[in-house]
Amino acid sequence: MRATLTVVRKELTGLFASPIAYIALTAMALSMSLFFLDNLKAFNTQIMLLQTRTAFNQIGAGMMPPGLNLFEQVLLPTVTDTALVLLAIIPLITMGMFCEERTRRTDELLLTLPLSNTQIAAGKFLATFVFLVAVVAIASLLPAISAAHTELDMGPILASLMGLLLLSFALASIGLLCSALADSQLVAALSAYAVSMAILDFSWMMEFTGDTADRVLQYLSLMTHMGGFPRGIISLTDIVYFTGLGLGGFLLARVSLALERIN
Amino acid sequence: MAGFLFSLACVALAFGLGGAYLSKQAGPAAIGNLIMAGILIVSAIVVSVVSVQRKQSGLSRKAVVRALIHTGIAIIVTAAILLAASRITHEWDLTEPRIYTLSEFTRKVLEDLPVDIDAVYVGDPAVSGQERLLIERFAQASDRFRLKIVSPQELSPEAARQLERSGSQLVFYSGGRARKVPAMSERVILQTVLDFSMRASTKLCFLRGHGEPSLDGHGERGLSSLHGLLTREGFQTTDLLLAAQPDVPEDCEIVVVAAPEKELLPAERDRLKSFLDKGGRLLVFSEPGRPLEPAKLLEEQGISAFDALVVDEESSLFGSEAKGTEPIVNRFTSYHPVVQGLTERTAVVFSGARPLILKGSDPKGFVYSGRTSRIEMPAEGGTRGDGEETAPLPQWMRRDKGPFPLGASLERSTESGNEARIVLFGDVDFATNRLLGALYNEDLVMNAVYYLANREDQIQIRPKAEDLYQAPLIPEKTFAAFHSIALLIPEAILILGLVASFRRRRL
Repeated sequence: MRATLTVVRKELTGLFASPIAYIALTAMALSMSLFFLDNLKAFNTQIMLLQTRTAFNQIGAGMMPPGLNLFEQVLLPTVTDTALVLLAIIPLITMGMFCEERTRRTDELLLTLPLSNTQIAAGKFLATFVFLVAVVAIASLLPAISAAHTELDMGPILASLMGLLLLSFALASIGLLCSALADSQLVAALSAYAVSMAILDFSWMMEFTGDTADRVLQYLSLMTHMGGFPRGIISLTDIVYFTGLGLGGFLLARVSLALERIN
Repeated sequence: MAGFLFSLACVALAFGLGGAYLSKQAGPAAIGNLIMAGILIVSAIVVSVVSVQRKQSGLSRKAVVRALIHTGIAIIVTAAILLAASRITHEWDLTEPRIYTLSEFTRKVLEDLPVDIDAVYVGDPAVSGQERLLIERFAQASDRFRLKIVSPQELSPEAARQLERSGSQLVFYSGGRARKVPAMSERVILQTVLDFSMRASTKLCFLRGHGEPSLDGHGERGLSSLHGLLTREGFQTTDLLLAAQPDVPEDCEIVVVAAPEKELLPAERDRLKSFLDKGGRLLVFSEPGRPLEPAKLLEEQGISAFDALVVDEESSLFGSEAKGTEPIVNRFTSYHPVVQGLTERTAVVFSGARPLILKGSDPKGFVYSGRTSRIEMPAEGGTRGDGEETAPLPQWMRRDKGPFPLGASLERSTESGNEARIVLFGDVDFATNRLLGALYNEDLVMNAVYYLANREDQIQIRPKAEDLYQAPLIPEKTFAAFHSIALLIPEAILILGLVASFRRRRL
């Protein structure tokens, strides 16, 4: 455990010493702020429009159109946007995990250290995840502040955070696996994008597949399992799905490391 | 070489999936790319294994085999976890009103379902996940509710086309009757279930002949919504012309006096008194500017109503005509059965309500206006029933400071050994078509009915529509604060990054 934590510390120090971490965090914070404010502005405009129409008796008093609320108009799209931004930045963070060691020729040194493959892979994976927890925390600042100002239900916000963390967990393991398999950082990032995009949403494929295949594809899609969290539903199925995906990626990355050690 | 093949595979995979996504069909180019990606991935694995085998001795070959076994185990473990996950149905609903969890009321109705209901759901699994989840919960809650899910592929082409136009469908069959569920929400599905399982029991008699709102009235001031709700929940309703009858009929268990515009005849008051003395139940709605009936009878029990208006400008219905006259109320007496399940977060809305005056310890108030409410006096002196002047405001009641009681009940043992019950509300509009469906109004009215019917054990909060996250306009000041914070966070991170980079260079 201590050896794993040493790897985690070393990776986090490396991450925060490089500009990529700050660029990723800034991009995340800036894009989330823009998305959030944009959604909030649109919501405010709609409410003002509604108040004007009510004042002119165009609609009855107390008649709120369904779906016109802070939750549907601001929080839900913000969480979906956050998930997509995570999808965009995670490969950039994970691409260097193993590839950079190869580029700098420090991989041989790493593999000769008295550390098992599991300890190395777990250390790198945990470091990435800790960094992503910080990213998600930054992304959740504005929704949390809005919740405090508007008495918005905290349940869906907490569930959304959990969903984003689980998504990060799964995507980080995919990125880690691609970094372990690829020779260059560019290939690692591109392949992580390809795999993540491929499993993101299969619903468009269902137009030309059968009923059983539909169910399988729907089940395998990342977005299917993300859908419940922003609505405040935490499903054990979704937790196990993301954990399974993360664990699978981690185990395969570990095997790839073992093969590299043999080489 | 293996890395190069893997990179090519990724490109082929991305273009294959991207092409199919853009054209919305698996064309030859997309299929070709996907096949190519598969071949390249397999080739990359083979090349990787062969190159390792070539380089290594016999001992390392064992290690290669071990690595391959580990790969197989990793894939099998992942597949097993994903397969296991697909069979787990447990979930937690973190929303405050538990909108994705069947309410206690729905579960109780389903547990006591007196008939078998066969539900057939036809829907596209790609777009109806939440709906299916909801209907499956109904099926899980009762063995008598049987669900069959039909996918569009099982339908004829014509039926499938119709389904595409109309969206998913849910049809109930029971006892030779069929009924389509008009919308996919717990509330609407439950209403349809109640339609099938309706059992007549307690009878409510609505006093008529004095300008009371009609049970069949479909306008804003009518009571047809309340009539429908009572019928669905198994109550019988009828009009009562008391002036034309010698007494309240035997089968009337509850008499409803819904804010009459004219005073009752003395004989009618006597008949109501006699009804109460025999252990009858009385539900009285009053309204400012109208006589409180039967005032004398109520006053004898310690309840009366002041002819004035409760105004709360801090908490009133959005966009109402006269500001503050439609107060949103969420102050309930926690122990009272009529407001069981109603909390600070489950408010009710009144419209033009009058404050009640409760004397002694027998009458129990159960719903109160907010602390920010006040009383607006009528321009002219009001009258109460019996042709007398309105009761003066008691000294302890300040006109400018709530809370004021808007609903109260009273229980009293009669000489015949029965228990008479009265529930009085300072408003009738909250139970009319216009406001019955708003917030938790129907729960308050129905809870009062269940209380009067001596069926407190059945008092439950009914499921609500899923749209409970109403939020007010974000104030300009808050919006400006968001702007500052939104820009401050990325700026701070960027400065931190520059400092870290600068320090690293100096090292």
